[in-house]
Amino acid sequence: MDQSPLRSEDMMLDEQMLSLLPDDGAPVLNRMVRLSLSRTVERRVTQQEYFKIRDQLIADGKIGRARGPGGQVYLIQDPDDPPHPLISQTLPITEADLMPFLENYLETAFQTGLDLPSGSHFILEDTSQRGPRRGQWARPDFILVTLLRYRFQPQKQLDLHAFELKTENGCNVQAVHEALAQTRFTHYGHLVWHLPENSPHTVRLEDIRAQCISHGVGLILMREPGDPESYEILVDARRKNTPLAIVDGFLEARLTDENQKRLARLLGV
Amino acid sequence: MSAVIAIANMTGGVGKTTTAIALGETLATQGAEVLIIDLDAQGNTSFSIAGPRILQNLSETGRTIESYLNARLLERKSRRISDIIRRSVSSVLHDDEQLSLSIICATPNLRHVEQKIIVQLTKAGISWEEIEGEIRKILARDITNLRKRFDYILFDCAPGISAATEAAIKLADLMIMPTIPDFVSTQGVPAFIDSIFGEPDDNKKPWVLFTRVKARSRHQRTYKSLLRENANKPGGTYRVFQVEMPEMVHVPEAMSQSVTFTNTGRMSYNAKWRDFAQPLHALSEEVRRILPNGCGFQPDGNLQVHGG
Ligand SMILES: Nc1ncnc2c1ncn2[C@@H]1O[C@H](COP(=O)(O)OP(=O)(O)O)[C@@H](O)[C@H]1O
Ligand SMILES: [Mg+2]
Repeated sequence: MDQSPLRSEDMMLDEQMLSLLPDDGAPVLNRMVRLSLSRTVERRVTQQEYFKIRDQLIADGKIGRARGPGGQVYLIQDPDDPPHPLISQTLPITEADLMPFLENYLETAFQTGLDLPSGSHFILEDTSQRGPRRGQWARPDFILVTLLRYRFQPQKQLDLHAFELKTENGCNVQAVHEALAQTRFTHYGHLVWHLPENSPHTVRLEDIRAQCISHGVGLILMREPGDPESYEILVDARRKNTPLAIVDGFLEARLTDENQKRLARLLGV
Repeated sequence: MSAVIAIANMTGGVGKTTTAIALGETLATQGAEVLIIDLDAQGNTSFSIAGPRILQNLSETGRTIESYLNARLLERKSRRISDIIRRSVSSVLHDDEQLSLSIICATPNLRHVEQKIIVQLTKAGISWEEIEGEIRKILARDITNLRKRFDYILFDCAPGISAATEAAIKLADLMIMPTIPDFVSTQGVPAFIDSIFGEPDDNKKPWVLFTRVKARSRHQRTYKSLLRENANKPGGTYRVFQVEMPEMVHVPEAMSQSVTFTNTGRMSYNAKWRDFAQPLHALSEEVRRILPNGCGFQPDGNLQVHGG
């Protein structure tokens, strides 16, 4: 702790500015660049200072000036040094982007992990757009119904899981409470968090994990969205004794007609 | 003279963090130098103001409140509070200038450090009161130095029981208690005050601030008048702000830091807080009025002008 790292101030302002601009050459408002520069070097960078650096960088051919309200600058790309494809991806990943990956994971690695006895059934439904909006927290992103068949017993056990998906910077303690609130209607609540390795958001992990443990909410980390093997189940969900009538009503509101019919058939209703 | 304000309530989710950030930013638009100190291990204030990257950097380089408390109380090392202050941290502009806002961050590790402090000092035969007194002594000395550099020092306190929170409340010039005027949130008000002050002196009485106020709620109206009545009774242990903070849908959104290069829509104070800015300015005025004489920053003339 005593060996303090290189302070950001030690880097020259113009280098700082170049490193702040998006690699893919996307233009950024001058006042946004100046604000980011001040935040990075931990002191106020005056307008005068900023424009001096900017004009020098333009003169050196390192950045360009884009038209538009407020004035924008952009990084001029070095043709010999193409931007790294991952870094140049500036658009944030949304929940909608992640949904198909989560669906794939639930149908593959997650299902395998449940280790259902043979003859059991597995029905997955994307509920992010379905059902009444009523009630702040009653709409999970996915629900999953498993129907367990036992070899020597006639009855079947129905388990209902809810999954709440959060983006890298969209996950906080409140998300745990959202996932928990869904167990008012289901047996299991899971929080799925897109948290790449080395993400700066890892600072929140311990807190979120502790909250999940104390509420019995499952926590699944999505490391590489496209790779089901990279997902980590950090906390196992605890089964809640949700009354059957409530589960029933929830299924009716959330499952498509088709899946409702399928479930009824499987249950022999 | 600067003002030290503790924003505290035993109950979570009543708007402590929202009040700390929104009031801090409002005072900064009026030209004041503001420091926010996060004492809550949830780190919501830190996360919202610093954002993930700066927060991770502060955490890795030991510039957090827990690393400071750890050094001062457990390792008995000298550690300057000014070294853990993160300056120029705001991503909010007013009149095209960055708000003059600094922060001392907390991360979830604060919980472990506080536990360690209590365990180790208790083992050494030191009582809770003495632990709190020790933290208060250390904080008080360091805060006295900071008073020269900041017009306002705001503590965003932890819910529940925390020695650092208790110390901050006791050394503050003013304690603001954000409270949702409903049954659940108002229940703990007298007990919390009693647990900290017993019978507070007149000048130490905390100020209840109604938050998330719904104009149409009869239930809330009942609790508001109940608390206002109790405050005015002889022997009342708290007072109530005149201004009330309305519930507004865009407030939670404003708190989640999402200004990026591609999303610059909310980078100015007015775009961030919108209609909430009016009650905020009223709150800042009232805070100035009730602060002990000479405390805080007196903006001259036009409130909207920001130095620079
Ligand atoms: N005036 C308001 N209008 C709408 N939502 C609010 C308001 N004040 C606070 N909130 C929301 O209430 C929740 C709790 O507020 P927060 O400030 O984090 O409380 P605390 O710090 O006391 O735990 C947050 O989701 C916050 O966005
Ligand atoms: Mg808080």
